Amino acid sequence: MKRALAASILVIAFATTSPGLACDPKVDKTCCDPKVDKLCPGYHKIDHFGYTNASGQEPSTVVDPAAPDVIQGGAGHGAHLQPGAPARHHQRRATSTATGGGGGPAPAAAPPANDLVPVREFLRNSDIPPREAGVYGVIVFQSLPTPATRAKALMVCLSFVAFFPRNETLSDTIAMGDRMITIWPVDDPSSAKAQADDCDFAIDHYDMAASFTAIRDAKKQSASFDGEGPYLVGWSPSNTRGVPGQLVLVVDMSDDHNQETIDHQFLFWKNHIVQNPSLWRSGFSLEGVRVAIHDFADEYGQDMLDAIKLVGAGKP
Amino acid sequence: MIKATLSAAIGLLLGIALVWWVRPDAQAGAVFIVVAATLIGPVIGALISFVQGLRKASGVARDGGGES
Repeated sequence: MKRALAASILVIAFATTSPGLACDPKVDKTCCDPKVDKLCPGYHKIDHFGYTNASGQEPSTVVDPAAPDVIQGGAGHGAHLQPGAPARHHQRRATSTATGGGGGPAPAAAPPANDLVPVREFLRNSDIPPREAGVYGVIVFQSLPTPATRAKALMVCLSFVAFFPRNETLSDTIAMGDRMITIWPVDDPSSAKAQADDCDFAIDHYDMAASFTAIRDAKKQSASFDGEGPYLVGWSPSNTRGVPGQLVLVVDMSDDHNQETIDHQFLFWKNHIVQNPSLWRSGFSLEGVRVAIHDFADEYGQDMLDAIKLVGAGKP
Repeated sequence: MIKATLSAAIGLLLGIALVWWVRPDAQAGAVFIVVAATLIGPVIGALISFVQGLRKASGVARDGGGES
């Protein structure tokens, strides 16, 4: 009896302290309100971590002055993330809602100094990694699109375009080292269609060489690519690519077959993983569990309930 | 009987907490999570009781073996 009560108290305590529930939009306007933004449920805010900037500048990135001593400089080599450091990073809603929208001329507003800004770019394989990039990731497909995979590739491209502003639209005041660049490799990035964010072009002209290279380098770092993909593969800092023992960030979208779940993965990538890779260090994350339960309940919930009703109705 | 009811109540609480955390989009998904957790609660409770019973039984046997 006592054990059962203790267990229930533990469960409730866990639920209330989990990251997905840590943010109260009524208190903190910077966090995501699921009632307003359907893309953000559960992806609220990561508490208690910090990071330094990508360009190795002084550790002025500390947002929470209460814990300035836990942030260390980037040692001049890209972003240096500090998993578990008790500083507090406030997500900016402005970046999470920014979209590419065909490369509009107006540059995005400059964020607070030394904050990583997620952007996107179409690049050919020879231009990867982008020069001076602090953190970057590559969209990795296992193959060029086939009739079976084209629809999914299109959804991935739409998310890619929708979730990040184009790199060139950002103000020059944001150093390259402070940008987190997500790359869609294409064989002709200077094409007018690529400039216009034409997803059909991006899919048809996907640069498989970049994919093979990314997979090869990530495999050296013990990443696994057994699924059908696609994957978001990233290195943070960028100079850890292909270095055995260093962290490679991999988001596997093999089991994501609709736009909403792919959007979730991009949001997770943009807001959480790259800025706090400890979440994904072992390939396991509490957020992944949450999404898995969410998808299962939504997809099969009604069928399961019908089955239970059927069994119940069979009883005398 | 009381144990089963208590386990089901804990399962129900757990289910509600899960819905809060998972935030399913479909109403059926939320109902399913609560129902599943409520059903699983007594099963886990029975399993725990079973394991405890086994431990007790093995303890008694060991004590008995020592005396003989």
